[in-house]
Amino acid sequence: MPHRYQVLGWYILTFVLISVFVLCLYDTPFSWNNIIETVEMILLYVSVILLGFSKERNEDEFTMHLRMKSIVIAVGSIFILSIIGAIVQCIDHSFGLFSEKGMLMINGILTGITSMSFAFVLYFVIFRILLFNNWKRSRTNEE
Amino acid sequence: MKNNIRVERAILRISQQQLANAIGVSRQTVFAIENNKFIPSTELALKLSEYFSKTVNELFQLDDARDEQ
Repeated sequence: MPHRYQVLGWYILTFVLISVFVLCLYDTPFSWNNIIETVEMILLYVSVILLGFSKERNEDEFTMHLRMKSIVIAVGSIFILSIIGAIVQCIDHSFGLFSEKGMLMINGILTGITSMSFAFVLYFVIFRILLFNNWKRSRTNEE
Repeated sequence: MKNNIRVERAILRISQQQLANAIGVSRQTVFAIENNKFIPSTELALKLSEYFSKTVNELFQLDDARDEQ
């Protein structure tokens, strides 16, 4: 997608974050809660898709290289976290280390980690960090 | 893989930005190539070779440590 979609993505993401903050401050009637949450989730996914799939201003093969690297790091991290989660679950089943509530929380986190949307968000965050780091290094060593 | 891009650029007295504009990439890409953080594609290597009027072999060399392996 062209670069202008990235600008749109940032606008939507900012709107979602501000609206979440505002909604946390004010109570909404129960019947509206689910609808608002769903709309916000959809907007969040749309913004992340726009940000993740739109081109940079100067998109070239190095940017593609960073994208590829980010995907590999994101997928690798998810597998490592899943393995750690599985070990924690196994230990808990054997020795009962965590309370029922704690285990429910761990299971919830594991379900979140292994979802596709988390993988995509992680890819996007890692890509931005790599891009920023390279930009910072190249700026300090500008010739 | 190592390269002489920085040296060749110094000979021509051009900035990273000027080189980046000439070969159609970002300045960050030129920086990454010069610092061996990124190995360019054949297409980009040929563009660099054409720009500096040098062969690709003169611009890019295999690392000695890698050759020994």
